[in-house]
Amino acid sequence: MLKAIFKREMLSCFTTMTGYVFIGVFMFLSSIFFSMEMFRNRVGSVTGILPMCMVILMLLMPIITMRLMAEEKANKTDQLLLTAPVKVSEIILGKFFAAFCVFLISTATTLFYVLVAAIWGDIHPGETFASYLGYILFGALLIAIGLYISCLTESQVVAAVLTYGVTLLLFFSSWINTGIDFIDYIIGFFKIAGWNESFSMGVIAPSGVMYYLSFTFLFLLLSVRKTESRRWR
Amino acid sequence: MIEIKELCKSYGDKKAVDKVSFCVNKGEILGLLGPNGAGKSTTMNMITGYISMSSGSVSVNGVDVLENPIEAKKMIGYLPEQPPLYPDMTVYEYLSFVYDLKKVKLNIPKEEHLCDVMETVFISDVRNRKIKNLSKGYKQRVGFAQALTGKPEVLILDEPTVGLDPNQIMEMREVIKSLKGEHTIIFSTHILSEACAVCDRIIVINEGTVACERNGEEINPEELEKIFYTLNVKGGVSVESNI
Repeated sequence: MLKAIFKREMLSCFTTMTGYVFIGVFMFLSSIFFSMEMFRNRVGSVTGILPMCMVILMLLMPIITMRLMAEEKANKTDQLLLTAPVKVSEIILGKFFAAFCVFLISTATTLFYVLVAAIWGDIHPGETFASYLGYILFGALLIAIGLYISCLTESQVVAAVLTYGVTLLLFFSSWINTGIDFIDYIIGFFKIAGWNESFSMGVIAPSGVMYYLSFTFLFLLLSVRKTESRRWR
Repeated sequence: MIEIKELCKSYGDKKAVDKVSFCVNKGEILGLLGPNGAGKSTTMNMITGYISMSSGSVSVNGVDVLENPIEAKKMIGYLPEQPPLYPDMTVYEYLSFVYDLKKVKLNIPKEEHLCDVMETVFISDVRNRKIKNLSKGYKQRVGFAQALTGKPEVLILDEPTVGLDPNQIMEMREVIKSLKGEHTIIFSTHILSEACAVCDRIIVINEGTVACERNGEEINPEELEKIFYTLNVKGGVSVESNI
């Protein structure tokens, strides 16, 4: 059942150090970026900080996602899940929403910076909302990618390294420009950070929303298929 | 209650299970006996829907495991060879999670049912301890409690006494026998005396096929032992005749 799996994942995240490490390190690094932006560059808004938080997310997200399915397989607890009267999609969604919830908690800590900027800086509500929406959609996609990679292996280390490799490759693909229209058009689909630029400027582009939602859905679907395929081998 | 027809499972060219067929009656304890690697666990994994069969069918109470897996799994409690435990949870948290996962609907409250299950396998005294801090024997019993959660009609127990000390083995056997009638049980072991002590009927599996099948009163340990022992003799006829 989705709720049962969600609860177990949340419990696991916060009875082990995983959840605390993720949120703690995220808060520490994001606060450094915020302080630099606010006090050194004298920028009184948070829209410039969220793209930096995306880089932090890419470095930290594998801490949460690497264990989601790999740990179940290594400990053979997937036998419990796959022989229980639940659909594989419920298992995957339960795990996805638990990781998403931990990510949202870390995101919520940045609201403190919004408050500080609102008091002493210049906050544009629409721009801030769009930036956060883009950031949250980006986080959801990172979790879906990490979850899928965790379905591919029994080793958490392999899952983490692969997730780093894939997300960094997708992130830095924004710099690739071959000059050949067709190839650049194809590469454009993999620029996960590039699709976030309009959100940072306060524009909620339907194409951007659809891009993140559809790729998140695709990786969740692949995770379900991968987990189901295990029993057919 | 459980009907298995022409069950086959291949891994590449290797046939792990080859045309295994048998039925288990309601309330019966069936023993799957065989050496390691005989195909017992693979057969059990197919019955529970954990892995699929290459061919053949499994039905529980008339419900096909492949066609209607959710309904079939509702009737099955499974204790795999390695108990599927979460070390970071307490015993009660774990059983509570299993209760929710199985979407159990009983006439008694959840707390009362879980207490009953813990008493059945003698783990009430460790209900608030983390699973990672338990001994091997307790972990095995927590795994057994997990299978009993939700009062499933069918229990599939894959070598439930492995790794236990002699006293715990006797206790576990008594628990399994006490569940007879209330549950239909398939129990795998590679110890002949254990199968004889616990089961109403024994099916011997060797190299993925059913080697023989015996009912309770027909079980003759000496005859069953012959299936597993093959003596290879080096030398000529004269050497062989001297043995």
